[in-house]
Amino acid sequence: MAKDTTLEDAVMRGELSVFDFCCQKIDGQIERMTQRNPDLLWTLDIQAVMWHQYRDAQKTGKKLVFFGGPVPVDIIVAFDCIPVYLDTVPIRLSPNPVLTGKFIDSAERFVPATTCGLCKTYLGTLLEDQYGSKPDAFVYSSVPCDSSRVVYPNMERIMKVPTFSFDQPFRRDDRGLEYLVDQTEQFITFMEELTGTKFDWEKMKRCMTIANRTYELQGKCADLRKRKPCPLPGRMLVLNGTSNAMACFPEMGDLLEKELETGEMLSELGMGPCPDGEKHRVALLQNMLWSFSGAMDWMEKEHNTVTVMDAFGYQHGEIYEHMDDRHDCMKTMARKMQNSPMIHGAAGPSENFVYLVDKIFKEYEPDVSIFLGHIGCKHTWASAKMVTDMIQDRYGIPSLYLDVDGIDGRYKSQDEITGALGQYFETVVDK
Amino acid sequence: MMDNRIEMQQWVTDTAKEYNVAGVVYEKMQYCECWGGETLFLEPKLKAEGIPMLTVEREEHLANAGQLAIRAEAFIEMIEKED
Repeated sequence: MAKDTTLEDAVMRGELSVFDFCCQKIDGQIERMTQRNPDLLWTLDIQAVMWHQYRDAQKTGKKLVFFGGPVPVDIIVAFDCIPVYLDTVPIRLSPNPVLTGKFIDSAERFVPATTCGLCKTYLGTLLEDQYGSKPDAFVYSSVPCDSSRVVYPNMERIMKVPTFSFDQPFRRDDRGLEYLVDQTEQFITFMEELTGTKFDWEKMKRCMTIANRTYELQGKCADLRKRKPCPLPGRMLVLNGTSNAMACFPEMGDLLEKELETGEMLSELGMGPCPDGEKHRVALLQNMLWSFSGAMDWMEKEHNTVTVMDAFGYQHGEIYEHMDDRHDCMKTMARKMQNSPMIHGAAGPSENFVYLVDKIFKEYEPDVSIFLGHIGCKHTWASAKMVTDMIQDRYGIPSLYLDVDGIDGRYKSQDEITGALGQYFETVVDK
Repeated sequence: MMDNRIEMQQWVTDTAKEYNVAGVVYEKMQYCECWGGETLFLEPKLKAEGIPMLTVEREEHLANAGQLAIRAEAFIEMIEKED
């Protein structure tokens, strides 16, 4: 039976917004899963909450704040606004190369083709006027990424909404943190002006408490992956990115709690995602292959190889400790920003990224290393040699470099990717 | 290149007017996103002043000279026709 592409076609014609598309898609998935596999419904709940929140925020009188890069999302939520993490749009669209291609092609009229697919997709969606909602504000950060350095300011000029830009310091010391704290205090003033309300520390404390629960559970799920066999499938790692927007919402913790519970149960039974038992453990370096997360399922099925961790840095997030100490909380927030994906890997000093990867190899004990390099992420490519040399020297594990486009599936087909991975397993890993 | 785009685009437009240029060639270099994202606002700005802009994308090494030459030639022909 031919696949129903009614929704995709409507987006292609410009008749359906991306937010509407995502809501309708997730609703459809939930409907199907309710009938076929209700036990797994929990894996979809967070997406349903997030997309409906994006789409319906303004209908319920809440302000919609688009954001890109590491920004203090907890403050946005404390002001009762809905944060829209721009990366979630390309990530959600990327399994469909035709759909993503529409927005990427639109952006390429104005930015170089070599620009990151994430940036091209959210710029293209704006150029096509297909988000479905106009944001009330835009917040972004000077991620050390040329693509976002050109795309965010252009988006700011197109949107013409109140905008706040964070400047990320290179230094990771106390001075660097204080530099971010100072900007965060200015951001609070910005939010007060935007919402017409005063910053309420009690609300902030509630947000921080929920965020703490999220990151504690995320840490426990990460720890679970250290067990042998690893009880959780690689695919679950993709959902970690959702915490960038949703850490302050209880539903994110609910998802992780269920993930932990399921993982514990599988672990007790000695089960993992590989059908014939865990033969290899792989660490994926650099970005996530969102356009084909099935590659992880494929490795589990075809090579009994489980993805134990990626180098995004979602293992153990920062926890707020002294909630009555505003300055201490602001510093924690600054550390969260500096440890965010992109910043931790690309902002330098390179020792931070090398340390993170070293920690993965020490704690998760992978025996396979794959640098799945997103072509648009030139800054993390720059650290590839340093990172893979370290892995070779300290652990004696060679790394496969495989260039992919994490968003634009047209760059390399799924067959090409599994072909390259398969050859690596046959000629190096299983030899 | 980083955060001064409005001023820079104004300077390009003012300079083009000052020197009475007939057209502007804007080169987007592959892998140089910071310079490569100016067309979105620069082109309409120049157009509003009656100055056409040709956007070409090239690699750092001389890879597509013939193609660039044809596009430049067509651009000059277009300008001459308008004159």
